[in-house]
Amino acid sequence: MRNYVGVVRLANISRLRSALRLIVIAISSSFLISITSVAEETEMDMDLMQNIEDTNDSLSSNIALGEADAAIADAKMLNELFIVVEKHFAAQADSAEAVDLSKKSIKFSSEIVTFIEQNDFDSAANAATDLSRACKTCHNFYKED
Amino acid sequence: MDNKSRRDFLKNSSLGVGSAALAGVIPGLNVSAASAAELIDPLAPKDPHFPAKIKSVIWLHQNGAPSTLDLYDYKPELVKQAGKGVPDSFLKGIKTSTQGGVNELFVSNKRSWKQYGESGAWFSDLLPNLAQHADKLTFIKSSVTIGATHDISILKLNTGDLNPGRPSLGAWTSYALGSANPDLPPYVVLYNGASEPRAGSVNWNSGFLPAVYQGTAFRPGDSPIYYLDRPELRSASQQRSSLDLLNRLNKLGAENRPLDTELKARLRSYDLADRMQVAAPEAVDLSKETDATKKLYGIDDATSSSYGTSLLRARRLVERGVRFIQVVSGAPDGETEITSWDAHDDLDKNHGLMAKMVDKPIAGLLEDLKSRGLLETTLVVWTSEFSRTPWGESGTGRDHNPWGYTQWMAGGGLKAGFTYGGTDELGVQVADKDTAVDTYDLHATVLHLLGLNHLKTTFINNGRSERPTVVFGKVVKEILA
Repeated sequence: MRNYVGVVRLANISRLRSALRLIVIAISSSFLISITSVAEETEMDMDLMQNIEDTNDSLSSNIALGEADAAIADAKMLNELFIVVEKHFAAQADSAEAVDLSKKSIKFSSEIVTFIEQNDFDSAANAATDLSRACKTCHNFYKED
Repeated sequence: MDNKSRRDFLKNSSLGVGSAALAGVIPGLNVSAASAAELIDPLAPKDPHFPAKIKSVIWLHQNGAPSTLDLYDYKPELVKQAGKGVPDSFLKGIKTSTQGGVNELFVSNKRSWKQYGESGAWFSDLLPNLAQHADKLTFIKSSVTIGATHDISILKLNTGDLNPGRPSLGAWTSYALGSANPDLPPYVVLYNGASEPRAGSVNWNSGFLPAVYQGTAFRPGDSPIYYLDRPELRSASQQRSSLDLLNRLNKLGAENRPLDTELKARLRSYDLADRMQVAAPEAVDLSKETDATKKLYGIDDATSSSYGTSLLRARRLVERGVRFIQVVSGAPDGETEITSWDAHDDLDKNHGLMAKMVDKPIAGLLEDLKSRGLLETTLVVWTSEFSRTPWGESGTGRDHNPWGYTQWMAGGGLKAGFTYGGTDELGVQVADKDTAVDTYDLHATVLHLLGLNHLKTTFINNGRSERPTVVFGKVVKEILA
């Protein structure tokens, strides 16, 4: 009986995953709406950076898994978040490099959306790596220890 | 589900697995082959993503962080400026929160430099034997990492992350390619010295990958693996019977716990251990090596003997199909004062001893691999967790430098006698940031030479697709032949 129960469990897990995916997309969508108002401001804090890091990790995974909708949602969210980052650094003195890296990140996240819409996941993965490296370069300069 | 239908289900399932396993020997069916093979034997050989340039990697971790400014990266300007302060322009963009502070620039008055080979690569007086192989080496003189404590940066060097939990590069290699020799582990760790390497097994573990892919540490000495030898009063057939019974019982347990990778790993380990009782001691037994070969590796010299023994063992493991051999530098036998390259003071004494320990053995390894036709299919990587600053510490030592240093590789698929990147005139940091090579890039490049696309070498952990290079990593295409 154990094997049968195992099959049932697998089916339940599959349904659960689908439900979770819907919830995640719903949350992501509502976050996208709320981020529009956040983008109006130039405040940047650790929560925002943590959001970027988490979303970037999720984006990398979703591209690898070929989850187009979720990956596009992640990339669009990152695009909005990097607009906030760019505005923040544009208002700071001696932050030209951060502004430049933010602009690059905005560009990379837009390209990722285009690549995924064209079903070109290889190029999307490369662009996502470029995006991650831009984050890392910026942290080398600006992240507090 | 009644008993009959349950039996039918199991029968059909196993037929499905059998068909999938058959697909494993058919080229072009790599994905199903890999998953089917894993169900039967997680270490079954798997096809790479594209034709590999190399079969094995010898990962030479120089523990403690040697000063590459005293080995490969000749800086005439540093010699001129020695004793003066570091100009602010050289410190732009880096955080110099190293423990010793930024002191005056330091150069040992014992150091001398010379160019070698057609490539004209610079070597200091510390590496006279390795210098003879200049044209075999591919230097990466723009290496960077995150500078922290040794333990944390060593973890990043081996696993790509600053926190424990991710698989090491060798574990990813085992996972992606399986084993080329069923009698030996595909991933072996060698070390010399009295104790296990700094920070220990977290640097060769399998992280979230199944435990079967972790590295197996071979101790120095005749018996490389703890408790591997069969007790004297126990016959081989008695042991075989016990193992067969244990195997049957464990398989019953494993059927009830299909996701228990530790149990699967243990099942395989018992069987592998049985075969390794013969294979492992033979693999590391140097009695059949000639005196000339032992001399080539510096085994006839007290300072280089233990490290030379590790490297000769590494060559023997390469010959036997081991995929990834991680060699951690320790200390010469009997040495208790200097146990790593970590020269915060008296760099001349430290590097004089450590360089003598590794110079002849590494030169011997390169020559031996070349003469046996193995260098074309093997990758030797000379690497460290970070390097050391051009400014002095304690008057005669150097502090940690993660901002720009030298690593090198030699072997198949590379431009030999080639240098990529460079540091600034004083050797503080990478001169051109676009050429910076981080540990992720090194990992991506090693995997590429093994025929693996790091972006497609993935494992689902907690619903998330993970890869060896975390979310970073670019193959350093400029160094590929």
